[in-house]
Amino acid sequence: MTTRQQYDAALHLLDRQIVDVDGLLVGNVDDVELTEEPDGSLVPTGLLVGMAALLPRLSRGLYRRWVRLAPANAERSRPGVIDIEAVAEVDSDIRLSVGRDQLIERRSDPPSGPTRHTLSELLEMRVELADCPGKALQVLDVRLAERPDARGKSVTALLVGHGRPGSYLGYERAPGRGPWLVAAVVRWMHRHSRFVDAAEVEIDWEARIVRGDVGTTPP
Amino acid sequence: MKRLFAIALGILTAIGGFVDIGDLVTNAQVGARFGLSLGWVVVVGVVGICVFAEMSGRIAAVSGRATFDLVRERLGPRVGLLNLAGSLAVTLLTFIAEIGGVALALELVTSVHYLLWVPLVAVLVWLVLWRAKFSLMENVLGLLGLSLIVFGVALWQLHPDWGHLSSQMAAADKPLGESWTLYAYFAVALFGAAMTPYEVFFFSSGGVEERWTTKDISTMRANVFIGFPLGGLLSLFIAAAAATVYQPLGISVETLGEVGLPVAVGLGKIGLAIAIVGFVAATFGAACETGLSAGYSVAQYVGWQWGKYVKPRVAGAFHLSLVLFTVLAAGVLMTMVHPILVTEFSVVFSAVALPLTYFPILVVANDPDYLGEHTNGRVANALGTVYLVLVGVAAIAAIPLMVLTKMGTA
Repeated sequence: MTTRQQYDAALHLLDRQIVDVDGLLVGNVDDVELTEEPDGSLVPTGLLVGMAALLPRLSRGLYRRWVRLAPANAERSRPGVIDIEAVAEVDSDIRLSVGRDQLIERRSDPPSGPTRHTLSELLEMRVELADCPGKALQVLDVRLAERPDARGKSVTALLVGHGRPGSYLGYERAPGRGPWLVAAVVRWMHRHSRFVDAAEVEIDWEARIVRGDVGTTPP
Repeated sequence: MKRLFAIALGILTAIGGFVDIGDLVTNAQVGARFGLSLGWVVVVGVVGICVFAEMSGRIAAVSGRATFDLVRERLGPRVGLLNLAGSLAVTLLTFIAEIGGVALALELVTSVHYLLWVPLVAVLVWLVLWRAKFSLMENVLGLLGLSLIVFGVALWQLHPDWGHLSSQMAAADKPLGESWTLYAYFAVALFGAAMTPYEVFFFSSGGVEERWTTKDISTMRANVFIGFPLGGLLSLFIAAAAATVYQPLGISVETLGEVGLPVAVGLGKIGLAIAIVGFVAATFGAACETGLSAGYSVAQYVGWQWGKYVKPRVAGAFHLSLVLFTVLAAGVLMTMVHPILVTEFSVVFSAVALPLTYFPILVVANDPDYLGEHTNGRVANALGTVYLVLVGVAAIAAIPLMVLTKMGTA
């Protein structure tokens, strides 16, 4: 779906502008839909847009109140989806291969359908690593890379550490990036951050805990 | 030749567009009270806005991202929303003041009370935002705004003690009888006015609307590095003219008429007429810029289609927000709140908006994902870091100073 081999979902997808095939603006990526494959891997299957995706990220309480204002309205608890198939390129904006009219729809999966999660559920989830017990780590970002069978991208690693998702500001990707002061402060704040292999962790969606063994520190 | 003309036009409009009602009044007030002893703040502020406007312009040219896109992408929706609230407050307060400023300038000419002008001015501003061409709006108002140069001519005709003015500016010492807290309050207010965030919102969004590419970077730099400093010089002329006429007499400046009076003293009626044309053009231009900036920042935060170039039926939500902002501004002015006083409250919101706007710009200007080979060099990064610290200090100091000095009245 994209020219880039691997990227980070919170850094490169979340809050980016979605642009349609004619150059018209569609909306911002308010959340990303992750679907569990039978083999247990997580695959990004859609971009979520609209209040039902944005409000839970702003404030859970505010979101609950907003849903309660119109209890009969299912759209308040089911965000609009743009299928990942429609994404042509992930750059400083997200370019689609289709026009924007009537684009955003709601999922209506059968009860036996795939298990779907959202990126924001995974972000800020508590992480317990065997090699650093007692540290309050949480999921900061999710690395997506091309699957070996070239069937699109899947989650290959989690960036875990202290602080807010996205607060690494991309400094984990480029060792020499300036300005010096900002880079030094960001690196110091993220001195405990590390990558853990997605295949080696167990994600408990109910209890909101990720359990794993070891992590590798970013460059 | 055509390119040279475009550069010249850009510079001229940058000069005229730099000065708004807040600059006019604050500079005259500060000049009357402190002489040119706060002139250095204008210089520091102008360098700061140049540094960040260049970065945001470069990001717009290379990646097509306007500033509020970056704010949400780098700070996330929560902190981004905090910035949206702060900068929208600053921008809308300025928008209100600009519409009031146009009305006050028209009152000077016609002696018809400004409240009667407010609805008309508001409708005119909205019509320009809705119908007029971007380039027409920028060029006509920017060039007419240049007539504020009359303050420079008037200053020369007032035969000031140049040695005294320059020593005041170089020494940066407060006049006797004024307290250091008051001096610091006005320093922060002037700095905030020079670096007000709507300038980068407007500049970068305008660049995206005009479809700048990497080829336009040099033109953009010429506009920033020549136009903004000359605009700052205009601010200094206004302060110096007020200092020359009012400071020896101990008179403080309260109204727009008093801002223009030094020109009448120096050049007579004709000079004053030119100055008023400058007031109307500069404040009307700034009204358009602030109105659009408010719409830009909301639309970019939410992801709506935005753009003055985009037809209302394609960018419905954006154009509707412009209507609502204009109605709101006219409504606030009709409560008879003083238009100039309104800008003084914006200092509070600047404390939130300034750091949260310039930090993401600095981070993204270093990100090759956005800029490829056009990332910041050493000078831009060194200046950017220094100004980020300065902005932080000003943000922390702003509210305590405002309380201590009772908004500059103590």
